[in-house]
Amino acid sequence: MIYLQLFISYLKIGFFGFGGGYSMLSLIQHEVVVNHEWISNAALSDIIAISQMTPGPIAINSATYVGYTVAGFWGSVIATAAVCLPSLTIMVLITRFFLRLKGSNYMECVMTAMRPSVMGMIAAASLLLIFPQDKQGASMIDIWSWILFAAAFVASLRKVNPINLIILSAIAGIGIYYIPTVVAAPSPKVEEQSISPSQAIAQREWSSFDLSQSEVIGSERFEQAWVDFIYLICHQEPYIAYGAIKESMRLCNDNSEALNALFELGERYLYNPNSPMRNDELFIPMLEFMIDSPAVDPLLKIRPKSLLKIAKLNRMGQVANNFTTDGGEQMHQAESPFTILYFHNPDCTDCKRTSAVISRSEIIRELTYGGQLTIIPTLSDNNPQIDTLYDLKAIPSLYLLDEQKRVLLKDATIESIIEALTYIFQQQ
Amino acid sequence: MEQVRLRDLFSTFLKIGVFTFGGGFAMIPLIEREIIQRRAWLPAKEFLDLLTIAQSAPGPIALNTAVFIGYKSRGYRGALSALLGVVVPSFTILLIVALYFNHIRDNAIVDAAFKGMRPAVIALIMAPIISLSRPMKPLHIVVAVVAAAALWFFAFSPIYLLLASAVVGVVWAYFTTKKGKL
Repeated sequence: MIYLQLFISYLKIGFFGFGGGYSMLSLIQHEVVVNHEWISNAALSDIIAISQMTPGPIAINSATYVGYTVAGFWGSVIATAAVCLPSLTIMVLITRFFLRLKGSNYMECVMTAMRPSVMGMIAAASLLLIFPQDKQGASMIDIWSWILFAAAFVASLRKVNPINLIILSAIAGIGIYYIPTVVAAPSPKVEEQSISPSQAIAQREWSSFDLSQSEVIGSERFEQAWVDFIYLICHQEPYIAYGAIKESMRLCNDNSEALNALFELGERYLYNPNSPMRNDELFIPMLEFMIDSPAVDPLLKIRPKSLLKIAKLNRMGQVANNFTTDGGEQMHQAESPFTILYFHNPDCTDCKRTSAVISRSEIIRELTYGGQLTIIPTLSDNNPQIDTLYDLKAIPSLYLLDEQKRVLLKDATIESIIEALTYIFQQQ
Repeated sequence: MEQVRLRDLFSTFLKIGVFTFGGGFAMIPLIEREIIQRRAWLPAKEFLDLLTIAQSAPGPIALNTAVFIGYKSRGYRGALSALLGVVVPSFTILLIVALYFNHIRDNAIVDAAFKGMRPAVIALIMAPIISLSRPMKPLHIVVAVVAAAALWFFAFSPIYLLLASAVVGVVWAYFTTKKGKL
């Protein structure tokens, strides 16, 4: 009975969670992740991140979220009620006890002895917020953090309403960290004639970073700058993008830590199947550089080598690998000017969505009817040869091929394929 | 003293619940403002007692605080009203997030707003320490500094710290209280 389990678990969390907030985390983790396996550790850290972004105690936030994930609306109600129940009953008892004994010498002495400790606890908690043990949830990220901190501190001592201060600081945060990224959309200006455009872009983006310092490399600012850099070069000519990626890695000056950090970012943003920025053409130069660089440990080259082999399968402009379709024919035999390869599985939800988009698309219907387009759906599980011929990181995977079966779009979304087809046929 | 209305308890804690970003301690400045200065439901000198009790009981500090003030003002029904006030915002917001905004933390605007709010919240938590320490004797301030250091440097569990100070208080009371009188 899931409701009862939820109730008991969160009753325990409420009952044994002394000290509030983060000291309850290990308890929550034990119950929810280890004992009952309701959610994964990754999902729990998501909840913590969301809790930090929403008001309210983390115990309640996690109760509502986990309850909903596990057993819907009533699950969230039951878990939240359970986590509140111990507080309600025990605090009522303690408050009665306190009110009755108030004024007695015993209560006076105990309270006097405990007050400084509680002050110390609050001070320690705020110090821990300023200097956290792990850098992930850091609050003080740059000089602006300290300015905001100082301003809020002074304002608070001068009795400015804390609610107004919280709202103002949120607005200040948007002004400092969000607006500049929108306003300063970088326009590539290539002025120096002596260096190539690739070098110019890479150097302009990276000259502000001292890549020899390890705290620079892991920072959020570094990651953001790298993403901006990728965004900038993916709109350039392919050869410039290719050169700029290599130049960005060359600027690491054989610093293996910096190279590995860049490679990790590359894998996360350019290779990860769930990344909207995934782009094999930009990942390939990174892989090549890692393999060629003398600064990279030979052991760390094994993975780039195998990834490069996969990434080079069916590159844009190359003829796609031939295979036997589910209908028993050769893929290369398709005669239409365009071909869509659609790798899917029967029980994946995103495939259902993609199939629905295909059947609803007017241009696809028109083109297939007119013999301009062939769609080759392939159940990847039934076709063992596919795995060696195509890089199916995630299903569904779609390719758009031209008449000679050259790859026009690789591992693209159905929307971008429809967009491309619409563009091509409007031109004619 | 005029009786506190349940409606006011609920709405005041609702307001506090909406703006408590960053855990139970972040409530301290809001409680000071709303409960002590605006509503005067609790005398300023009892503020630290409230925090002490809320820390010593199990459960989230935010809930304990609400129950204490609610019960002190209006008994059981007061406790329940204040508790609901704190819970409703968290519950509603997390439910909406679970339903529609699973990707809220990837949103650049929300992220930027939080980068601005976090330092301010820390400052808001720290400022009351100054005002609370004003009426304290030097010895107490030394104890507070030692306690903070023990927690911060040695990751001492807060429960033991509270227990130890309670025991010190009981022993002290034993020697200062006349026999037969509690």
